[in-house]
Amino acid sequence: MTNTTKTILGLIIAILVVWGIYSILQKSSEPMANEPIKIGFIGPLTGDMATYGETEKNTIEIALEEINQSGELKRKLEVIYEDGKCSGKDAVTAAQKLINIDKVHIILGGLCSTETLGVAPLVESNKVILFSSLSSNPSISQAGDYIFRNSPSDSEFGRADAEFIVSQGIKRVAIITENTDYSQGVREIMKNIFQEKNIDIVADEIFNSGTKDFRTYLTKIKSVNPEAIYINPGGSAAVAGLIPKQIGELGIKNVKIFGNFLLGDKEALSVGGQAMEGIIFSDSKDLTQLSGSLIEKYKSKFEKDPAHDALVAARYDSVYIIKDAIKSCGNDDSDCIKNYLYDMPEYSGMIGSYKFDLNGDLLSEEFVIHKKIVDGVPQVIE
Amino acid sequence: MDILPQLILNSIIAGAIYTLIALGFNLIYGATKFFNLAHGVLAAVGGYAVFFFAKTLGWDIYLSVALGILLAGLIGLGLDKLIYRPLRKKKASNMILMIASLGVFTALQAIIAILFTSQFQTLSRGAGSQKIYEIAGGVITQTQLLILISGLAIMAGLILLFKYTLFGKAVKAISDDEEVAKIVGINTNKIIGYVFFIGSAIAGWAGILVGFDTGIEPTMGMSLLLKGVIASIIGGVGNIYGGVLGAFLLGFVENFGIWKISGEWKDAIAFAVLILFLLFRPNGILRK
Repeated sequence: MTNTTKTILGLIIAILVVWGIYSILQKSSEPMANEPIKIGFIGPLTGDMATYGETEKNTIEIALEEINQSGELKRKLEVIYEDGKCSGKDAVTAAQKLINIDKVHIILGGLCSTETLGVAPLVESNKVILFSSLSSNPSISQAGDYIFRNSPSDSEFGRADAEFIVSQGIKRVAIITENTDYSQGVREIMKNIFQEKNIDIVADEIFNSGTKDFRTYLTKIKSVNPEAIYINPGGSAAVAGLIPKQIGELGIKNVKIFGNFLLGDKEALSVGGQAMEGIIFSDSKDLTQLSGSLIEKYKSKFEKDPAHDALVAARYDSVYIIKDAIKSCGNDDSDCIKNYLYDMPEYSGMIGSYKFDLNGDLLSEEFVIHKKIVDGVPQVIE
Repeated sequence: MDILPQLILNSIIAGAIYTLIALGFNLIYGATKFFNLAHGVLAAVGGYAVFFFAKTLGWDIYLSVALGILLAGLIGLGLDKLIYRPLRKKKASNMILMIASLGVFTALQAIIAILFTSQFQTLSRGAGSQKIYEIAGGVITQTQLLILISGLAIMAGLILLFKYTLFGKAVKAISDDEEVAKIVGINTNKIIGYVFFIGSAIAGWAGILVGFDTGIEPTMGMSLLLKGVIASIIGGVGNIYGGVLGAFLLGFVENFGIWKISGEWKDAIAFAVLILFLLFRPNGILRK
């Protein structure tokens, strides 16, 4: 092959490539009137939290099917699912893809706080709406104008838990916290409240994710004789069962055990077994009567239980709220949707009646309730 | 409450778990001179075998445990026959063998996750209802006692095996020089196969006990393996006594290290000890 042929061939290839890219860009830049509106989703579809991600995905499928069948919107909705793996880094990769390649204006997610916080600067600079239904880290409140959530912030849970422990007349508390954004957020808020109320934090242990042997942490806690232990896991529900189990095995008695929502998880209950009896943990408010049928629908459609009932309700609401916003705006323009969400009248959905505050956080009456495990089943405390 | 007795017991329990992994690992390293990373996943194989036989199929627990140990041993033997032996025949370096074992580790771990999901499972039936013994002001559960006793018993068994049997002498000969061992008429492949079977069966047993003590998950192998390898290196890799010594030293350092400081330092302490040993005593406490 002579040099001339090489140059000509090279030129032809270059022209083809440029033409190919141009035509692709052309296509995506003119939305067709009846093409579906694309919405992104970011959540853990693999890894430890995958059952939660799957629950969100299935819930979105239910809501989408209903909305698209009703024909309420002129264009159909379509959701593109990306795996955030409960990690900031992977969530950002997913968001890059959704924003730059799929050109979405709305992203449902993230699920883990690390995902939401990781993606936040990106959606903020690209003016893309981010709507989480589980992330609860307090710093999400300040993460940006385009970021919304219909799940209570940790500050709500942490505050409710600390106040509940105070109301029990307990003066000496031990806290055992997993080293995650979520749990550290809860810990900070609880510590502040305990200090305000003059409650002694006699032990404040932090363990890294993946720890399975808590004996020495608990031995240290045992040696300072707390009246209550607050268990504050952040990632795996198994840990939420292992800690009470090892508390029992170390013969720590006469101590009240409290914890965050993970202690009510089915996996935690099966791992902890009898050791879970009497534990009090915080959870989202029980679902409204409406959502009972939603959960039933979920179970019959997917032939399995959702990882978390409240998550189904919150995620279902979020899709309907987005639908209302798109309907009101006539399209998926993110600034219009943002304004709609901030001005939204009280929305009466599956998790209750609520609207958004100035930070895009859930604004409603008390959302947190406490449950006690009796005979292996969590029961609401009145 | 006096914290010391319980801290000592916690250290001993942790050390006993590391011992069980280090023993099998060292046995195989002694004969083959390569880091068999697949050793960790065999613990998961043992644990999941018991989970499947006892919980899914509802078979007798003792039978299931025996089958779990056997299965882990057989898979170890199979890996040697199918993968390591052909590689040895081709004069592959120890580095290549180690990479191959890493591949085996990843593949087996993935298969377990596909078959049984990544969910954390416990083997004990009535969780929290275990018998608890009080020793010198500290407490220890039945499973933990079993971990400790079996760790010491297996160590004693291996020592006797090496001292008094022809098999033990053959392993020693291979360990010293495989070529010479072949020349004097030792069927090295067969002996190494047995070593893989025994070492892997011990790993399976360790996985089963961990499953009863805390629980099993497909990724359990890596953390067990890491601690087992650290214990081996600290104690003197390839040396039976060394592995046990290293395991208990690691258990004590880890648990006493976080006595006065926050527990998030636990892993950092374990690896700091490893680095110190690699720097100042690379052959471990007991040089071979």
